[in-house]
Amino acid sequence: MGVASTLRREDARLLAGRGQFLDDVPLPGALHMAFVRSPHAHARLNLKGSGAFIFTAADVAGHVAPAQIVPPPGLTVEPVPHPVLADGVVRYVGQPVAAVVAESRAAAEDLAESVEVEYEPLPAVVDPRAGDTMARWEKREGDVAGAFARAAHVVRTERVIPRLAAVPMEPRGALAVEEDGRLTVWSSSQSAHRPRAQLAQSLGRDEASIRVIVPDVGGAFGSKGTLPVETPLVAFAASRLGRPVRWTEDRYENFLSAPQGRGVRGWVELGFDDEGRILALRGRVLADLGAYLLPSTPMPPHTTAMLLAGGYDIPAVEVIVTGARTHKVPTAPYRGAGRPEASYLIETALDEAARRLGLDPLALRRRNLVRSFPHRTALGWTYDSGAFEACLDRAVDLIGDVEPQEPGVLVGVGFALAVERSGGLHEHASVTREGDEVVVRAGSVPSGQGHETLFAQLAAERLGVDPAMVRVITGDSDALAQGVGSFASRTATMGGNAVVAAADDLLAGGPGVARFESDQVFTSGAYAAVVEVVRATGEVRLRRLVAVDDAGRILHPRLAEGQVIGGAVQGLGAMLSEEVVHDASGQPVSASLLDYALPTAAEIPEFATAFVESPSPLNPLGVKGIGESGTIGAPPAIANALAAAIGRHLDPPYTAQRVWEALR
Amino acid sequence: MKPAPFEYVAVDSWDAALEALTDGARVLAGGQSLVPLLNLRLVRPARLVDVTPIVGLIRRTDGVLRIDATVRQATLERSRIVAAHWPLLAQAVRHVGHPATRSRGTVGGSVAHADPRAELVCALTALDARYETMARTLVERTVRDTVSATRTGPPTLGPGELLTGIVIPPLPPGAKTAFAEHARTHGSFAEAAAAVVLAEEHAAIAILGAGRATAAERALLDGASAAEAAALAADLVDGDHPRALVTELTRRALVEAGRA
Repeated sequence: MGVASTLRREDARLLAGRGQFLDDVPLPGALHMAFVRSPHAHARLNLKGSGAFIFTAADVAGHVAPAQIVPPPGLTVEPVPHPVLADGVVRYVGQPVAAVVAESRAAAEDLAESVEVEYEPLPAVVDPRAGDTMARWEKREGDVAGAFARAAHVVRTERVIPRLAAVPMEPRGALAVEEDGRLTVWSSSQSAHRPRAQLAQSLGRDEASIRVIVPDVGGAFGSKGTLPVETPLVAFAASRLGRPVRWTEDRYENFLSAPQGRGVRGWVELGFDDEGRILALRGRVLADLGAYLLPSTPMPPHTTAMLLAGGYDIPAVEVIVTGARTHKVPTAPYRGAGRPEASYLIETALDEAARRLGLDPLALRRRNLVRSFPHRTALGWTYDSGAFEACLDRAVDLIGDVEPQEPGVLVGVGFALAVERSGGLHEHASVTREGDEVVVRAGSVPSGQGHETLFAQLAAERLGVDPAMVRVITGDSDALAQGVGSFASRTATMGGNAVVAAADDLLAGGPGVARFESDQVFTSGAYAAVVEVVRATGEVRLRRLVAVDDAGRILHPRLAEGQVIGGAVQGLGAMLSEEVVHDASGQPVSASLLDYALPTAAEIPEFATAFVESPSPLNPLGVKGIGESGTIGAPPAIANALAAAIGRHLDPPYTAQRVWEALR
Repeated sequence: MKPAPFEYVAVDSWDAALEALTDGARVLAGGQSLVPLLNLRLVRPARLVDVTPIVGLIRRTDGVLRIDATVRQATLERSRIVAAHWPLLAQAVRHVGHPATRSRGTVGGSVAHADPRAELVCALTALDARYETMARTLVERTVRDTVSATRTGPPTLGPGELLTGIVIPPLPPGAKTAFAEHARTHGSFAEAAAAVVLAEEHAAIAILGAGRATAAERALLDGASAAEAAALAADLVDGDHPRALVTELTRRALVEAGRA
């Protein structure tokens, strides 16, 4: 089933300002919520204010419960869920201490400012190496010690990946109203059904008494896959006060209080035989988890460890993951969610090995590639499909020859493989005929990717109708009994196959309802970068970026390429300029768009993209996720290109000063 | 990110602005620097006096450029007079924020805000700009003044003092100009920048945040190469990497302006 690369049908609405984002949802008479947030990274607190429009930890105790933490299998965590509101102690700058409501956001901020709180500052842990252990997991397979004992060469690397902010154009938020015992919550989210389940748990209500609606979402990048701790408070206040309550997160709150990504220190040890074959890998992952656990906090470091062998056939692997508690906002999935960390650690370790052993980095990769599929990794995940060498060949081809350099400019070319888990679990959809229309209802929730275009085309093609006749409804927990949502690059795979299955059910005379279930599938790819460094200043320019992705069958090349480029731009931002910085006392010093350097159009290099299609055998469409590839593949390719230019590895971001100092 | 309450007064003349500029008031001249500070409640003026309704023009009279303080940065960027006769301003203003902020930000606001990282101040310093101000004396008399920049940039405005315009002399015949900058990303605050004017018997170099590089200018008049002059310009800044940046950016600007 191939789909033409049509224009995105949602663009006419979204680009012309006719979208309806959370703050556009009209709900007359809504009160506005604002938060008293901790100005200290760690402090005892004594809150003095109280009033009908001020909610403290004491006011919500017994009414709003913290979100439950369900860690990945085998990973043990300390029982430190994120409190709803701080009670007696605050553990990061921006932690909610009290919620207030007023007739306007400005009045709510005035009220929040008037709440008297005494803080007694305490020492803050900023470096995760000094933090208590909040999560731990280890796994080993094969004769790791024996392999290292007989290795001809052992190469060890230590890398630091800073924390990053997701910075969606539209920050988070919620709007809630209770009418006739039914709570309706509009949430800027990546799912409608998961927030419904979490609100039910937090508020102690039946799921049936809650409806979650997700309006247009202005970017999410994983940061809206975790329900904000503030959202149950919005719902609680709406119930308690009998009026609609709105919280539209502002940019400053988003920088301080939205979960951040990455924040990993990783050690990789590779044992090689005398022909450059990798005999064994030892990995240590120290993750800066922040002050508390959100439901999704333990997931990324686990993924990092499981994917540490990358695209290489390594028979013996040992990984130890430690999640450290620091006085910072919690981390959680951010586009890539553990996979960019894994690809950065293994791919920069391979280039380090190539430099040490005097081998060509491409030849070293080719010698160790996984070549037959399905491939079960030492740690037990199964790569369902792939063509790693074909991807690498294509990337070599597309990067071309690097032109001779100008005087004073160093040039380097770097390559990296990317392996990505995507999809998994299940997803739901329905396809029905309603009058002249076909209506698709999907559990997947878009935040800019183009789901409406994709689902309309899949259903139209299956039913033999014009896509213009298909209406797509997403983001409403009342539209479908069950649904999962959009994260882990799962929508084309899980949602797409669910829509097709629902259409098939309709064609077969059924009600047009489907639940599609599958194991995770493994996307892969090869990335290449050309980096220039001005010797005199350390200025870094990314000249060219090549992305070759194997996401199985490509359903809609335009949407797929959009995902690759968007992800790669976030990946280059992570390497060239972005970094969440805290000072020694735990104060964030990058909490604005003036200080957190997002890439602009001017930083975007020449791009070449290509697809290698090895269909997944795990779903009828043969597809694999493409939503995060760019953030996974681009960073290590850029790191390896920089290392090739200056002769040694550097951790990001590649500010002129950092590179210049490395060149001294 | 909503400001603390304040009173908003819009004025359409400088006299009205002076009158409105009471204790605790601040001038709003586009707001691209001030509004973020207001929203973070880092500044809490009792009153904002919005001067942007005061008509701002760019005019060239007898070869002298006058830019009213309320001229938008985007207007400066698109001005044919500026492009033809003072290209350095057009070269510099492209580095100020982003197109959206330049459509609101004013030239006078940028100067009066006096951020040491302001590109326009750096360029104006290289152009020997003079600044027109207005103030009220204790006896409520309006005083107009035109002051030259100091070596390090425009004069600091006192309380109750307004910047009303900027006056720039003509460039020497055949002058070439260049502006070179390094910022983490395009439109971020600059880490270093150099503005250069070169002509027969004329050399002006201004370094961002540090003012005129007079030793480098003298060396250029004595025949120094771009690299030699650039090394002297770096003496204006502290720190090894800032010095490296200033050296290289000054050299690039000088080369672009025609010095080998």
